[in-house]
Amino acid sequence: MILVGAAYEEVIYIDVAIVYALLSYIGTLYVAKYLEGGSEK
Amino acid sequence: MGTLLTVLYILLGIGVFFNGLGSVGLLRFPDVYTRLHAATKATTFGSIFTSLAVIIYGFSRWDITGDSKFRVLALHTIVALICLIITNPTGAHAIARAAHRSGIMPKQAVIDELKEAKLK
Repeated sequence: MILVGAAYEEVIYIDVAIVYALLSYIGTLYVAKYLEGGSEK
Repeated sequence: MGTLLTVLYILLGIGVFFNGLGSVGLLRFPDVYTRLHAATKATTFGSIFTSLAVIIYGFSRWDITGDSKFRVLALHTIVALICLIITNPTGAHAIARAAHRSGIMPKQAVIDELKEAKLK
């Protein structure tokens, strides 16, 4: 996404890349928490 | 401009090479932990290099043309790179911890010293 933003010279695509990174991080943490707690309780 | 293009192509080449290595490792490694190793470390390293190429491109175009759009491009890419560096290893650690907690052993492993240490 950063490369697409640089290729089309649009700064908003870089912001989309930042939001993707943070959202995937939050999603990963919640999935890991679900997997971790789901087997114990 | 010639040396700048050379540097950009070298950085992009390194980034694409390591991202490709991450994909190959994700396909060929046997269990969760080695696949996580390949998919996280190689892609983080490759993404750092592709983002570095974009940062250098933005600052150089800003230096040449004086358009503030390229400065904004480079600075936002720096922010994205910082987010990537912080979140990617943390997410991988969370996945590995969840996999170990749910009882998955690495392939060909016979002892589990982390479980024997009884860490909470």
